[in-house]
Amino acid sequence: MKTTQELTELVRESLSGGTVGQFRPCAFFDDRLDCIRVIARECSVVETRVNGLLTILEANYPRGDRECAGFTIKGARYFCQKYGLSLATPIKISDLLDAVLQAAPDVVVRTIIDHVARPLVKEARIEQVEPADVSGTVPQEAP
Amino acid sequence: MVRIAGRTGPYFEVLAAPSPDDPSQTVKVGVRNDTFQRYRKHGLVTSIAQYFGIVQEGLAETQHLFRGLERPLMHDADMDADERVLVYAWRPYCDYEWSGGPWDGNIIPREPPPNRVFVVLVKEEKPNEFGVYGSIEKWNWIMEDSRLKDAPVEWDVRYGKKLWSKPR
Repeated sequence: MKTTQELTELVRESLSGGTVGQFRPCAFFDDRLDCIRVIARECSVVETRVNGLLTILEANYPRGDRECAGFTIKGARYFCQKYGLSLATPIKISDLLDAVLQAAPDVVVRTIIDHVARPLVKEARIEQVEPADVSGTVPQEAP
Repeated sequence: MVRIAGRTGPYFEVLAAPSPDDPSQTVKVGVRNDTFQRYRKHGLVTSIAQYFGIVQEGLAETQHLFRGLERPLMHDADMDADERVLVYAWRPYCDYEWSGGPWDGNIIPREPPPNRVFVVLVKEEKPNEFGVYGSIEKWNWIMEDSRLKDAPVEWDVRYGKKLWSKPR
């Protein structure tokens, strides 16, 4: 088993191999797993499946009782196509969440969207999903 | 430690993982440069820390292996890509978070909260010159199932089928 120092060195070494950004809340399309990831906090999370469309990310070590760190919209290609959202252009988060409610209008999903997801993206100031075919804005280069 | 090779073709690193056919055998799985680059770009350093601390160290300790995600997954022209995902699950005894900036931060070891297991999603690859069976796409914690120790909660709803469980 590696020591904490060895692990830290491995992480730093891996960061030297490309462009590295300072974390900021973000939303992006994961092409290979066909999902949209919305991440408000950079931390260890436990993923809780709500249904086949929605998964919630909760902090494993919350600053209070529970702390939502993000969520995932699964099956994004089909979902976005069905609800007229283009992954090739920025998608407004509010439009995305409206579409989720349209797709799964049950009480549990509505509660999560209205009382967890919307406040989360508002507080984290996540306004849109990065386009799928754009490398994205990177705040800083590796020194 | 299950590391087989460092940078190889499109892979940042290649590891040995238990085979889907027989847990006593291994297959090569690789984490793609693209995957690491996405974590780097967004500053998701905790995920990178978990890769080195949990995935690299623990994949060989997998307790259960599942095939198929019970949700739509399209990739390229493959409409049934969900069926080509393997889910390795086990309970690690340590978790890791990254504290601080990418360049001046440090790994913080943590005792995982109870009733959680770790999963690694591996997507089967088309046969390639690197002999890599599948690409490591994602890794994260999930709540533990109350009926099957060290397995993700509702594994029978989340995944297509269980391929094997190692005897205890």
